[in-house]
Amino acid sequence: MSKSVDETVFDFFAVLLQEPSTEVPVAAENELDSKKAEVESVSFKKQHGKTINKASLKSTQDVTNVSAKSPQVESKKVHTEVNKEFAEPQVDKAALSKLLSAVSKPSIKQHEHKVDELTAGENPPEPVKTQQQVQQEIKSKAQQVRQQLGQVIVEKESNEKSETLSSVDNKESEFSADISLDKAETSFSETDGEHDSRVAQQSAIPPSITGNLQDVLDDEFQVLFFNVAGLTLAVPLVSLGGIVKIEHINHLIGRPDWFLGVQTRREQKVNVVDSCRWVMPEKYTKELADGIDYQYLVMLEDTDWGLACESLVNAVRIDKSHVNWREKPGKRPWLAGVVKEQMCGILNVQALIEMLDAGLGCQDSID
Amino acid sequence: MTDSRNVAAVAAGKEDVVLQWVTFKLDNETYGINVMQVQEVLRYTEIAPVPGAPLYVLGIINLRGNVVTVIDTRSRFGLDAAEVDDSSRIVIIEAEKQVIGILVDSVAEVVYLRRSEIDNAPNVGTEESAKFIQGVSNRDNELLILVDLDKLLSDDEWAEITQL
Repeated sequence: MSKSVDETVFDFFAVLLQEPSTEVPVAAENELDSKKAEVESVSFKKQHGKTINKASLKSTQDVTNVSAKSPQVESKKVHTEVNKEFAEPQVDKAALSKLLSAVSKPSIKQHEHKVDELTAGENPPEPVKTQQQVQQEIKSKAQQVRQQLGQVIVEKESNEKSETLSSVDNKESEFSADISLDKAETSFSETDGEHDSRVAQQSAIPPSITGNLQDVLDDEFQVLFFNVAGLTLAVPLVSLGGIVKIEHINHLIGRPDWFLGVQTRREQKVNVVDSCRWVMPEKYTKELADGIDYQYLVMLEDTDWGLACESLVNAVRIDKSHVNWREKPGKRPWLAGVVKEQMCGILNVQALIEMLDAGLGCQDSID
Repeated sequence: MTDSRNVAAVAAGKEDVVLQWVTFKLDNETYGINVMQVQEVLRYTEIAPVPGAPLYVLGIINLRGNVVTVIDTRSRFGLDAAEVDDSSRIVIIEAEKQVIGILVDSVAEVVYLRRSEIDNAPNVGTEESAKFIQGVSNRDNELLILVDLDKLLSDDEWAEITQL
């Protein structure tokens, strides 16, 4: 990736800043520096009545540190040296500050403004001060600005983090709609899974929708994987009411499209759900429907609901941590999360039952 | 479930009435209608279309001098249309004090059902046709869907077909 404009300019000035240190002896450098600082402070005080010159410079230094997150090692080295140099600047700080402020406009201006605010209430400085007093004042101001800069940087970082998280949420909410036949889309959910785990780490209190399921499950629990139109789904065995072979399904009029009908089983009626149509109605086409050959019903707990499936894959024991649990019910409360290894959705059977009882589709929310 | 209902019925002191149902086929499903509402079953005869009639009305037939309106049951139940064949029948029924005919794929038999053998249909869906089903019964591992003929048409529709 190419460097940003800021980084390039900072690198350039870093090189500029390096040069005097190799040429000027330390003692002479200190002397020169103190004199320069005095002159600058006095001249600045004359202009603005404020002594924030060094503070501004420090601000730019901090900004430099923040901005210099380039992966290039050389650049980092340069910045480390620059930091040392900034502790005792030897160049025309006002000029440099001016130059850098053009590059890092927002933050510098912001902090200058903050410094203005801070100093606004103060009385104008006395016209004559000793060199030590001036230096002391500069240091204290610089300290204040550094603190403010630190706060702003933290804010910026937290903003960036929250932006990332919100984008993760968006992606995550889009995920389950796209659990589909496409393998490519499955790979998408892999990325999603990573985001999910990050989200899970961030949020302290999971919403009850998946929290309840997680409470019910042991740390290690068994799930049954089954296939529906090329899509693999997992159901925790604790929520599995049984497996029924599909024999004859009686169609009932006036029911939703996803309601395949009723099959009798031991004097009881099983409500058969067209899983493909319910889980991914947006992908459901006549061609897809023609290719589906439902063989079994995955019974949900002790209810009359059975999810039609084409084949049963296997039952495996997995750890809770092997699932990226969804933290927000969102549009699909029936989807508890994603089993990382198999990259398939795991059902929140309780929520699913609620939705089916209410005649809701997969994207409706439980209110 | 059935046992518990029986126990409840006995406990309530109610008589477990036996009802007779005429069964017919529509789209490979078996439906039942109360035998008391069935007047007769006719082979398919020519149905005269009525201009301006609602979509669910196939037309009229002349039944021994009386004009009887024939309802398209498939259309009413939201099923796909099918060709009429030799097994097609027109069942003449009486509902809401009116005599109408319903076209079905075939008529099967008359079955006897105890009231206790009738279960509620799954309460899913809000489509209009859902209200036609008054219950279901499991007979020989086959589901019999019991139709409430009085709800086959709404009050307005019942009134409308009298004007045809």
